[in-house]
Amino acid sequence: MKKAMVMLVFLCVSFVLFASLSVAEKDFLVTHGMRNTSFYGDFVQTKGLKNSERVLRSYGVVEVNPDKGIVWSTEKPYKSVVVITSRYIAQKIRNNEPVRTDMSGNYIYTLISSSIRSVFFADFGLMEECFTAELSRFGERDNKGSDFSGDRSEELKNPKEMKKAEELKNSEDPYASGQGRMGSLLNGGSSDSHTGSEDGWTLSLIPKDDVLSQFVERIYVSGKTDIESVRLVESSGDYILYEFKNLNEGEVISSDVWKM
Amino acid sequence: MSGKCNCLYNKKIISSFFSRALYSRLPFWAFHIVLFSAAVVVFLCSPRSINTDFMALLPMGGVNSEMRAAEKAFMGSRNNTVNFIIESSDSQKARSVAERIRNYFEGSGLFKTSLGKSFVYDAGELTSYITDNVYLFLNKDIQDYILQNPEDFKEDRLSYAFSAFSPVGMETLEKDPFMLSSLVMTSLLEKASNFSNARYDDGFLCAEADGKSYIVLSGELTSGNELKMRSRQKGGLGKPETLESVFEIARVINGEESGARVYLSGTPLHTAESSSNARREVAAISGLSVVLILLLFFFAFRNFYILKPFLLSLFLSLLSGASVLVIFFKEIHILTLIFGTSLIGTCIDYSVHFFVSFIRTASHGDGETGTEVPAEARGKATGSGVPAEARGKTAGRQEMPAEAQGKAAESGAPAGKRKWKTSYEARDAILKSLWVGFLSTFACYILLIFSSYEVLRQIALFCAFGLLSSFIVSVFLFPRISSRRMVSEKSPILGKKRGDASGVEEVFGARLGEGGKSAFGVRFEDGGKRMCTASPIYFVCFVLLVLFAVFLPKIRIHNDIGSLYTPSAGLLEGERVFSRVMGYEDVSYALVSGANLEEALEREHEFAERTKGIADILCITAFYPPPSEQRRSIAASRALIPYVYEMCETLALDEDASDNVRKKIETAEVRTEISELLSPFNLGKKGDNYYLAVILRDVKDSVAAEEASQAVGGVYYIQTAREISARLTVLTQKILFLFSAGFGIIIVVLLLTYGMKKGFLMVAALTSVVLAAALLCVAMGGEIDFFFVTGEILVMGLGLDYIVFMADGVKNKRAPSDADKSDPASCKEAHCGRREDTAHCGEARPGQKSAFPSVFLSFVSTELSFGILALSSFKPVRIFGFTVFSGILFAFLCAILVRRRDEKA
Repeated sequence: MKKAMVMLVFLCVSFVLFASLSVAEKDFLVTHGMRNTSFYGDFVQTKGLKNSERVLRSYGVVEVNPDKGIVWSTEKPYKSVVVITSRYIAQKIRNNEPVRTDMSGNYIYTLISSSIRSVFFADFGLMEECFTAELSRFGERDNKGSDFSGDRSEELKNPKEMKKAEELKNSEDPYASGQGRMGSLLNGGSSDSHTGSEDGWTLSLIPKDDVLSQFVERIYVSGKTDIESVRLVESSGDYILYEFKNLNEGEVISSDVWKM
Repeated sequence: MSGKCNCLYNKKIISSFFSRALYSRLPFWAFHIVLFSAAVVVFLCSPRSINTDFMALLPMGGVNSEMRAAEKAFMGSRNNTVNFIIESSDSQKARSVAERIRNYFEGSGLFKTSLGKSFVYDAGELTSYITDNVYLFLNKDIQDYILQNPEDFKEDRLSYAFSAFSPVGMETLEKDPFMLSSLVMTSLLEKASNFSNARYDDGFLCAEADGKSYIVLSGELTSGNELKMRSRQKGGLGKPETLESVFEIARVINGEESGARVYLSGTPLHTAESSSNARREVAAISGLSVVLILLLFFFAFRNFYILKPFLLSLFLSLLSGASVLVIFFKEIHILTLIFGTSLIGTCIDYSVHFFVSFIRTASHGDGETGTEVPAEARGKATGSGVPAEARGKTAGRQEMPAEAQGKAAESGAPAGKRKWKTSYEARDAILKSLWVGFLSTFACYILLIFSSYEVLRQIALFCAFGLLSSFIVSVFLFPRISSRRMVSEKSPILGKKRGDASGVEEVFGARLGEGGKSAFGVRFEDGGKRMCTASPIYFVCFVLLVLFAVFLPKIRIHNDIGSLYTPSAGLLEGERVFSRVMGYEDVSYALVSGANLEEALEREHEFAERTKGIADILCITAFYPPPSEQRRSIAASRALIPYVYEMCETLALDEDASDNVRKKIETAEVRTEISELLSPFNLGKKGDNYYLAVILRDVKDSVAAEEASQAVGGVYYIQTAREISARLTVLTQKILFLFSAGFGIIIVVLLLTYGMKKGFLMVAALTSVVLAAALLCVAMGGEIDFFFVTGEILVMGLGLDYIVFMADGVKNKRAPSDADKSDPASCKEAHCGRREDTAHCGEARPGQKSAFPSVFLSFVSTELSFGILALSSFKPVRIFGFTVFSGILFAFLCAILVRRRDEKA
């Protein structure tokens, strides 16, 4: 009986420990890419079905600024800009007037904004308000590679997706043929951050909010020395994968965009 | 000739029948047996219940019964919801307290669903529904854009599909390649989110305000639990079986140092709290009234035996009132019982008049009546100066008056009834005044039955039949059960010396214009010779008329429902916090009708369009377009058909998908099935029409909203508090009209019954009472409200009783006693005859007595009842009680001024 009680207490304590990040884990994440500083880089967005080869892929530039917010500027195949701040979310589609949605009183948008900002600004307090977080760390030997070698969890492996990426690589797309920032991103392995012998990590985030959890089942954030990918898995099993390359500290986005 | 004989014969028969009935107990038995039997049968066939919902105090709105049914259906769910608002500076603490409350009520059956869960909708289900019917849901802006430039629209949607963080599921694209559902969902969620400050977070409705975290747990009570309360449990928390447990858990948590505070809100809690108070008050008011009145009567009559018939009359009156409610109403409102306690003070009046008359008759005519006088009474009579001769003639029993005996003999009445002569004499002496007094009060109550306000109708019917019972008991039963042992010579009513002014008269009479030494009398003299003595009531009436004319412009009819009910401090705070947290500070609603659902939806949409910018609208068409908009949406969607293949190809969809999409757009049809999510707004068919509900939040211009509702037609805009106040004002106007009509009828009846001279005197007194009430209103701010007017109707009814009794006196048909003959002064006093009657003093002629003692007792008992009502915690009851209390006081003073008295030159 005593043994059973001890086991029960142990299980409870374990659950609590795993339900939130420890200080050591937070320190680890901060030193391995999840930092609260401004940076920019290239991104590839891949939307895919759980049981289908079909994917939609787009490319662009992302800038993260803890003081201002995040800008996602999609350049290919269609232009669009999304700005996420603590006060509003703005979206500009093609040459249309930007549509701004204020956060005040709008729970859904506040939730989305908070979730995204908590991940990219390494705001662990906000993160733990929004999600139940769990960190997995693994060594180089586990790195079997996806498009950009940053995503190592089992759920993220998708051979069909990789095949599509190969097709894109061989297409006439200047980004896919290795020219420009996107080219290097698709070629993979050219970034220092992915070639080192650093241990990789994956942060698994489960939304606490009922409404959000009906749209997003889980978010995986993976990296080594930088954030390399963010994968949103929907409750249907469909996913959106954001992969990052050429991340640098500083700012590149015009101030006009922030005012959008 | 033969016909004339028949007519006379019939008249004789009818007259004989009524004469017999007047000296029979049959009317008493018939009335009560029929009434109580009917009530028992009705109750057994369909049990009645007590309605303790204080919202029923407010008149239901709606322009017709359909609207009222729709309003009731809409308010039903809202009125049955209990809210726990948990406040803490630490959101986790608030959450843990919320979980504790939720767990406490889990599985208790008190609430229909787990607390808070009823508001959580399945977003996936909603998305799926929108995606399946997206071609019906495009809003006007999107429709216009597509119809004007479908090519651009297609490009925009592609750009959106590839943009970052666009919430477009790949699976959805197969059904909806233009991602129209995301446009629709964004619009819907924006509308839903903007309607409340609160949001769902991990299964709880949360909000932040003033730097604090709030969690709101709401639950709809299961049927039958709305009003269940029981006495507070001592010690810890019991099983959550009744509403008391809601108060209990809040009290327990607030008593702990949990770092969180629980507030409560919701109509059922107000109702439960009020009904609990109401029951206590009914018991206290009834008990106190009965005790005080019995004490008063004991003081006045100095006899225990007389208390029995008083109690019997009281019991039968209350039972009759309750019986008639059981017969005519399925639910008896608790407020009826609170107001009904005033019946205790009013129904006792007839008993008072009868027994005052009886003990004076019995005492005055001991020597003649043949009423048996108990040894005790005989001894007292000796002590109080009853002449030996008179005492010697008390050996027999009461007998019927000669007139009655003749009539009874004629109609074959049993000879045995002749023994109640004194008591019948006593009754007959006041019969006319009793009739007039009863009919006037009864008529006033019956007037209230014509109001459209059910609680008022119940109160009126309860009191009217209670009075009727009391009247029947006093007229038909009391003469048969009165006996000489009910007479105490020590009674102050009889005075120190039999035949003198009564004790109460001695106290008040001399000061209030007795025996020609009027304190208020205006005597017009000419050269030392009296010309005439005008009753002071004319002067009072004149002064009041002048004052009324001066202050009339200041009087206005106004009702403010918000000021009538004051919840307990805890519930008031709870409601404030709930409104602040949810952002519901200013919410009103509208009902929309249509011959069918389609028409109702069209009207609702038009109303919503017209109120854009005036208020935030929450209604079905905000989420579900009306048929006309759906048709336009389908037309816009069909403009996209040429781009379907291109779109699908770009999005890597196969040909089957594009064929399906094309087919779906082509076959899209208008739908009018309302989703379950919107069911609270779908009130269904009531009568011949279909009804929908609309909630308006933060109305910036209520006049504009009202105009919008009128412009659309079939829309009834209700601003709860304002609306109810307005309805009460209309009701007040109607009752004032009835009041005026009743006043006019009473004037005519008085003039016809009592002639011009006495009739005018009574009319002047009654007019003074009414004017004084109006001036009291001016003194208190100049606003006449509903409860004031209903109180005044009763004042008119009761006040008229006093005036009639005092002005008409008590007719003594029997010859004066030897004592009277030997003492003319006392005869005058005792008989209180008119001027022409006073000449007989010292002779054996019929005379009159002052009704002062009985009126005084009636007045004090009524004042006791209404005085206690004026202390009620319910403002409407308090206003009503105070109005009647002050009105009756003035009516009594006026009655004294019109009192019969011997005038001395």
